[in-house]
Amino acid sequence: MNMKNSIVSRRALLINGGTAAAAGVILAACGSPDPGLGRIGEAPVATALPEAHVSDDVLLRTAQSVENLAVEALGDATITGKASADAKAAMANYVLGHKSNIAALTSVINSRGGESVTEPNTKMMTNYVTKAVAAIKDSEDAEGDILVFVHALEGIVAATYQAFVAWTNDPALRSAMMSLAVGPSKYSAATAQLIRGGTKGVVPAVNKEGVDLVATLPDAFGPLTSFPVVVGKPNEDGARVTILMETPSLNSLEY
Amino acid sequence: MDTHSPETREQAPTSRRALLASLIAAGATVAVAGRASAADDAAPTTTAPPLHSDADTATLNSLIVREAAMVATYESAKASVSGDDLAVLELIESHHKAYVQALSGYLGRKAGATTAPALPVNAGGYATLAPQLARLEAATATTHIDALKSIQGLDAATLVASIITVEARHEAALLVSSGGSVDSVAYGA
Repeated sequence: MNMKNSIVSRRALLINGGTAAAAGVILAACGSPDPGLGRIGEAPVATALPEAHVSDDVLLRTAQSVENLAVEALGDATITGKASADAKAAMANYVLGHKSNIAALTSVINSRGGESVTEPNTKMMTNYVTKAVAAIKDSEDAEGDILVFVHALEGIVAATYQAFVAWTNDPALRSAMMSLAVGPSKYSAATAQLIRGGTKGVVPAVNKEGVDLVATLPDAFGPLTSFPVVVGKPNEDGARVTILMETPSLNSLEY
Repeated sequence: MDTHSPETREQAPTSRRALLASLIAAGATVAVAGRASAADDAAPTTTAPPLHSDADTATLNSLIVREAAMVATYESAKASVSGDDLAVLELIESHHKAYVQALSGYLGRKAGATTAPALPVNAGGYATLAPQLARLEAATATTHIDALKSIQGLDAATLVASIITVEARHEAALLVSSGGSVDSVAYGA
């Protein structure tokens, strides 16, 4: 039998085979995704998390939660109970300033149809204030530790507004937020003067061991790094509680 | 010892926060692109603000002039103080010099004058000078806050914001270190 008389010639086989392979590729491409390995039993259906958008309103609400945090921290019974008379008087004034900022933020938020926040920022309360207050309660130098804590706390409130400028869409809101940052910046500097006063205390310096001393003007530009707070009673190794306070991030915004 | 240098700020883009900020900006851009492809979607869209805008040049040049005037003012005031008082004025002057450099560096060839005459201050010792300089610091910070209302570029806005927080500290430092009470810089001051 020659090739011409064959029912399935070699050429026809190649053509048909190629067509079948191409059809397979097209069908595979059009098919649904591979469901993966077979599963025994029932598994819960995965529910996607709602999309969280960082809007100007979210930033305003978060700033308000940070101001609430400052009021709560400065009014804490341990802080007010163990503070020196000078610190207590200063903190009372700081609280008035924060309440003024809260009122200003409420107006802005309400004018934009948003809902203002009346509670302190939960993450920052848990991670910073609660830990600091617990350490100060047992401290051998509570008056000094309170000043260190308040210095950093006011710094972080001011830095929050500064950090939010980079995230805010509306230039007018950036300006409004920075006008609110002025108060906490001044409170932080004034508290630094309570720790290390006079003109000597303005300029950065180190002690005999080479450790940085608190300075009223440590930087030329407002930093957005961590604000370290070292407070509390030293443990058997001499170490004290160290808290690195940071401005709100994606997991601590008020969405 | 001044532990800060302008380089400190230049390191900021490598930080976690700078990364998060850029991620958010990128996310906003993606959201806008996605919206743009859906022509029949009537929902409001968000346009990511520009990092740089030529429209900011005049405003930023006016801020440079103000900062240069502050440099000249401190240069003049330094003549009548000494010791730790002088160290404070030198430190704050160095900050204002850094602001002139940072703002003019940002504008590059579009930067205008980087010198200006000193602002009027009554001569005297530190106790006389400091409250006057504190008022000038407050006015300078207010000038920057007002400028933010019109600054479109995010990079310029963040730079100006980082100056405002420290100029507020300058004001408090000058007031309290010259004998003012801590309460004087608090609420209502």
